[in-house]
Amino acid sequence: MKNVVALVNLHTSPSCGLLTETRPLASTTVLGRYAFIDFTLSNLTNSGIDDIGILIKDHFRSIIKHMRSDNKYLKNSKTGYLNYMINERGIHNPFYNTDLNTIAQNDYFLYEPDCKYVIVCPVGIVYKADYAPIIQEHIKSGKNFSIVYSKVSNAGKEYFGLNKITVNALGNVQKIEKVDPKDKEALVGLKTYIFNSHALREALKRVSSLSNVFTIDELILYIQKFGDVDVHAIEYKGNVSYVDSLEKYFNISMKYKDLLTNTSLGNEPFNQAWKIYTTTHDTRPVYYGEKSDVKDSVVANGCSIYGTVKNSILARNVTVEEGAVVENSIIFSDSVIKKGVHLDHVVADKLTTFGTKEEVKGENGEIIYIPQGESI
Amino acid sequence: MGRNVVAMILAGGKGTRLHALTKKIAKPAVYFGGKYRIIDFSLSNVANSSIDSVGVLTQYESVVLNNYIGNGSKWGFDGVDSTCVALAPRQTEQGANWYKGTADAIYQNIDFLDGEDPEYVLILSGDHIYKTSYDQMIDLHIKSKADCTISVLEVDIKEASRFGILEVDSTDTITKFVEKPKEPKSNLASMGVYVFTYKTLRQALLEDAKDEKSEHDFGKNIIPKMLKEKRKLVAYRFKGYWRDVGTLDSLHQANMELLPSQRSEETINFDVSPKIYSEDTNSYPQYISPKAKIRDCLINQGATILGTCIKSVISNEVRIEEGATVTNSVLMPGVIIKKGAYVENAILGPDTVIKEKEVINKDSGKIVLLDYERNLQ
Repeated sequence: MKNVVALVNLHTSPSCGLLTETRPLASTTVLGRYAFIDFTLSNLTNSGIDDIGILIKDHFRSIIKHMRSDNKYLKNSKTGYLNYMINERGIHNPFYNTDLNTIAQNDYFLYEPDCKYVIVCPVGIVYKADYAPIIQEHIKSGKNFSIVYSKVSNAGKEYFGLNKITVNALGNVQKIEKVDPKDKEALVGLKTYIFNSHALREALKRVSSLSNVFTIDELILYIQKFGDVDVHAIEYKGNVSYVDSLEKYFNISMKYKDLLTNTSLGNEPFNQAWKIYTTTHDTRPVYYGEKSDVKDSVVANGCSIYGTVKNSILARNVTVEEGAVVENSIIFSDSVIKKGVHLDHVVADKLTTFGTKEEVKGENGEIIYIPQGESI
Repeated sequence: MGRNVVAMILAGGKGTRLHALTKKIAKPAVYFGGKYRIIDFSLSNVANSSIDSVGVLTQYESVVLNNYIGNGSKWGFDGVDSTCVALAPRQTEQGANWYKGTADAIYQNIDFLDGEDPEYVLILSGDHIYKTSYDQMIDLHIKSKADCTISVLEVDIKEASRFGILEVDSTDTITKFVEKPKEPKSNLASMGVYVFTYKTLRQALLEDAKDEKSEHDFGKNIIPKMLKEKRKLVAYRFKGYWRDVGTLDSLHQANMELLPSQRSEETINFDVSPKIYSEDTNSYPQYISPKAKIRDCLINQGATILGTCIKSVISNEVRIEEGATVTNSVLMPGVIIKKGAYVENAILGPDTVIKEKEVINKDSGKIVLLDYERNLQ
């Protein structure tokens, strides 16, 4: 799709407490092998979108470390690009360091002759989407602005923190409001927007004089409420996961573990024909020792398992020594679980070490988080 | 400014003794260790020796191998001024020629070497499993002012008659080279890894090309001739794990040596830097089901284990279904073992399917090879 520029928006990524204290959700590990940004970028790769900007809010180092080079996400690294976009002027001012200002500070791409449409995609709202038909629908609508939404049945419980919309008979947005904790069925906005680039250019000029429009969400709300044009609504049909807490991170990770092979559950976003691209660390395959006992788990390359692992996710280079038990847990990369340790309902960040015979047990709804580099 | 060292990897061999595994691909492209292809080891060794120019000489069934080599990015050869190129035989003004021998393969690409303008040329085989840096060998070559340095392995004297054997003096200067001697007088076996001073090599190749009686082979022609001309040839004693996986038994054995129960200080260690690089298959992480049983295995990403897996090496995209058992075997990418099947002492080539309840090679004690063609029967 040569005339589309995609913006991966890290400004709207939710916080998951301590888990995202030292990194954005974008570079937080999922299923031991991926980071959340991989799902967003793979949607773009699989949709044939090769011109990509990443709107970075903070934790730049962590993003760069995960991304390494752009070659793994782009089909052609000469005709395509993957640029980091930061708001240099406003990076130290939380009120000014917003997605809209970051676009304004990096608006060169909007003046490229090939840039006819701009799609803004979220990280942390995970779904598998071929954007080609979605963008086609936007073009067909004749509108300058579109919002992508999903019809859900448990809005208050799963999608609190997002906006819900009302759609009129013409397929345009009638109303935008916050999801209420009591909401059940609702049309939830996925923080995915499509703009005609000239309209976005004009909007950026217009909102620079307004004191209450700083974000893309606010821009869309402003256009919908006070603008003289309609915002088109495009439905996304498929599974959507919204990760905004440690608990949800844990539950969604475990759901993804089951989705990896159980096609009866509907395997999105895991479908063998839909690749998810990520960084390779050139780690060897997994060692399973003679006394290893591994069940119902997902294990990343580089791990060495000599103990027991059940209903868990192990990221790269985790060692589980003989006699150690890891169950119902997620262990990040380069961690060591020593002899006799028993972990249950634990999320252990990377480079953690659990000493001999230590027992750390959480429970459903009370996951214990061990910060990066801790020795227990 | 010319390059200091250019590596030339000989990767054109058929690998006849690997039977069906090399029916459609060259031996260096054969899968190994669940994740790798054999040539990954040579290419990673070159990359880890800070050599940034490499030519890979391909010939037999070169399409897969040429495609795999690509621009060398899998091993990091896509950096500034780096070169990694597959050099297959080509048509020239003189006509079209296959590579007639190891020396002829280099001779036919002398224009590539001239273009790179190296001081030294490292020549090695693309079908050996070992992990090394060639830095020390190249240092020895430079310090000893040799024309050629040959990497040697100290083998059991009883086995020596299977190899090209070098005799050396007290300073490890080579005095004699005998290909597969009946009564070996030394246990120093050539590994087929050479460092040449390019000027000397170039001259030797030009002369060899004109010799109609020559087999155009380094071991049979170039090295003996250089010795005869009193050139300085030096032996570099390689210490460490090295395997030639030329037969089904040796390929199976080398795979088994990667298992946790068989690893030792003498076997290859993937966890110590530098790494062995390979293709990233964009596979999902591996999934082990609630009913799976795994003991003493090496399993790559993308595998799905629902059954039992004992003492085996399992590649990406392998699926072992419920009730199936795999023991003492090597499963290459895409193999499917259906429900209730049993596989023992086997090498299963890429995409082989074992049917439900099928029993393969139980209690035979021998290694068998099955490949995807059985799916078609």
